[in-house]
Parts: sequence; C-alpha cells; structure tokens
Amino acid sequence: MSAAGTADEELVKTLFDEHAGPLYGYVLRLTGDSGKAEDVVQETLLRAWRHPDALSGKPIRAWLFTVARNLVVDQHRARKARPPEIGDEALAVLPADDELERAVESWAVAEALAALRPEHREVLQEVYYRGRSVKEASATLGIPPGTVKSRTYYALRALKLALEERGLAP
Amino acid sequence: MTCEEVRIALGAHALGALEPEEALEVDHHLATCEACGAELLELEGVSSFLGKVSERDVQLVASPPRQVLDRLLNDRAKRTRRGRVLMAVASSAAVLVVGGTVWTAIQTSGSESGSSAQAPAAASSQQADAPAQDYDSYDSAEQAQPLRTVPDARKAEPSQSPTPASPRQLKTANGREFDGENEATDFYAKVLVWPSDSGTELGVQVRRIPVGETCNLVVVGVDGRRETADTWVISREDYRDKSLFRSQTTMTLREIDRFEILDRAGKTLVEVDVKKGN
Repeated sequence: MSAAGTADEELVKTLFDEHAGPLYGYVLRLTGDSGKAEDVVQETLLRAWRHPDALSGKPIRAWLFTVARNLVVDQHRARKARPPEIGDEALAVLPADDELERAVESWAVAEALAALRPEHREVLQEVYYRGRSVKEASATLGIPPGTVKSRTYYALRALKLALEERGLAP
Repeated sequence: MTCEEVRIALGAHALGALEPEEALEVDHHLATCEACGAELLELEGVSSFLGKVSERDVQLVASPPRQVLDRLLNDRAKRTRRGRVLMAVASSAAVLVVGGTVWTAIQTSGSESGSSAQAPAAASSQQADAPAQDYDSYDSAEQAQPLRTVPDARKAEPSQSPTPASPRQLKTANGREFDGENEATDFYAKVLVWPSDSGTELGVQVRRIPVGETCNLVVVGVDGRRETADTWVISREDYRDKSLFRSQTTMTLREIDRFEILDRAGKTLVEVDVKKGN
C-alpha cells in the first residue's frame, strides 16, 4: 500500500477509535436497531474521512452527530417509500437541534466513564448506578469497605479529569 | 476524624453511599473544615454528570462494533476510486443555462471545490433577470435544459465566469440563433451566437449526425476568411443531454457569412447560413 493509502487507513482508524463508541451509542438510541446503527456509523465516519476540510476548526463530535442524525432521518423516509406524514411517531422522537447538543454532551460523559480504569468504572456502577452503600458494594465486589471508599474517591477524581479533557469541566 | 480520613470518604459521601453513622461524622468534620467542604463540592459537581448517562450507555461507548471498522477500511478503498471518477467528470463538465434569449455559460473548474454549487445560483439569478429583456424567442422546451459543453472547448470569457459582472454584460448581448439542414443526409445543426469582447461566442447543437462522428466547426467570413473554431466527437450522451458545444470566433456576427460543420475528411456534414437567414 502506498504512503498515502496508509495515511488514509490511519485516518479511518483514528476516526473510529475516537468517535465510533459515542456515535454508535447515539445512533442506536435513535434507530433501536444495531444493524442499522452500524450502517449509519459507517457512513458517517466515511463522510468524515472524505471531507476532512469540513471538520477542521469545527467541533467534530457535533458534526458527526448531525450527519448521523440526518442519515437516520433519510433512512427512515426512504424505508417508508411514501411522503412523510405530519405527526409521524418515529420522526417525532428524533431530537431537535438543541437536543443535539445535549446528546453530544451526554455521550461524551459516557465516553469519559468508559475511559476510566475498569475498577473505577465498576465501583461507580455499584455505588451510583445500582445505589449500593459502601458496605453492600464491598460485599458485591469482594473488596474491603475502605477500598470501596478510596476507589470511589479516586474514580470521581479520574472522572473529573476525563470530563475536563472533553471540555466538560464540572 | 482527620482530614485524610474524611477526604477518602468524600467520594462515597458525594454519592450518598456512606453508612449513616459515618456520614454524620463526616458532616461534623465538614462543618468546621473549609478545605474538605470545598473538596466535597467539587466531587458533587463531578457526580452530577453521572445522572446524564446509564450503565448501558457506558457499555455501548466502550464497545463500538469492530466490524464497522473493517467495513470502513474496505469501503474506503472502493470510494477512493469512485471519488476519482467523479472528480474527473466534474473537472471536464461545464454547465450552460439558457434564459430568455440570453445564454449564460458557467464553467465549473474542477480543481475549485464548491464551483458546482455556485453554478446553479448564478444561473438562476441570470434566468430571473432575463425576461425583462426583449429578445428573440428560443424554443422554450430547450431553454430549460442545462446544456453541457465539450470538455476541451476553448475558454469563452467573460460569460464562463460566474462573477456578478458577467450576467450584466450578457444581458446586453444580443443572442441570435441560426440553423441549417443537410437535405441529403437529414443532418441538422443549430448555432447560437452572441457577441463577446473578443468576437463572437458560439453554441452548437446537432441532430441526427451519427454518434462517433468527428465534427469540425468552421466559421466562414463574408470576406472569405475561414476559421476553424473547434473539433469534437459526437457521443450518445450529447444527444441525451442535449449538449451544446461551446466555441468562439474572433469574427463579429456582422463578419460571419456561415458556419460549416465538416467531418474529419473535410466533407461538409451540415452548413448553417447566417447571412441568408439574417
């Protein structure tokens, strides 16, 4: 493969590594179908790869989410093979522009959480998402209560850094 | 409790996970320790983000479908090739739009991205302006057709430039149309002419001349001068798209006697008389 080809391949890989996760989560929520979501993610990243100039100087994540959302809308219309009707349920659940910003943010939060070390993610899952006390989490995870406490503390500190990296400083 | 003990418990406290007795002790310390209080506020700020996502969200983000990457890498190679083909078409295509009797040609320059988007805008503004002018009328069905010029047609400034100045210049131009037919072969040609700074701009449309035939456009002056304007090969697409072959001559319309379209051997395919039909 040529040098240019390799560089292209690297760009595709980078786009995938940096954005596929949040993008996939977002699109899956819109479509409710993993196969369709995969197609949309693929097409969106491909467009990003083909239009690097469209991405320079812009928040790339918002651009990707916008393209993906439009693809979902287009797919939906094409599948219906008839003019979209007012009050269409599936279209109605698609987010408006201001919701797009919120979606970008919350998927960046998910991304920040996913970037934590497994033991940090795990302790937050127990303590926050499953509402367990330190004592309960200690039993579930099989670690001393003191470790649950310290891990929770360091997990939140690490999450703060991960959020800051994504421009989401608390 | 020491600050150190409290600090390490503040994460769980921010999430409301401490046992009631320990929570009370921590609160007692916080009542008198500003530094630990500030730390708690910060951790609560972080924990407020947790409510924006679910466990499932985190799982999804952590495991994007790897097969999409494989498909992307395959697709990428294919689309690169297709992209090149499209680029080649774009760089050779020029769009010509007719409005009223005024012909406006907008040359897309392939290297310049966004030129294809400019063209329709410039063309439609031109069309909007045109009806105000009193010109000879052309076949309205064909006016609506976007016409393609030959890729190697000579540059015909200034009308090919989509600058705001060119529509005004063209609006004052008196576009004229002439046609001719070869009665023996039934070949037909229509030549559209309009003045330019350097002479006359030409647009040629032919019918019934076989696909693959080479056409040489020769401009014959009233003084007998002969000027070969352009050569092109007729393609099936030219008929389908009603292509208009763009060219130009240094002669003014007044100086032109006729146009001849000759084949490669120099035999006349069809002749379009200007003076007779003028």
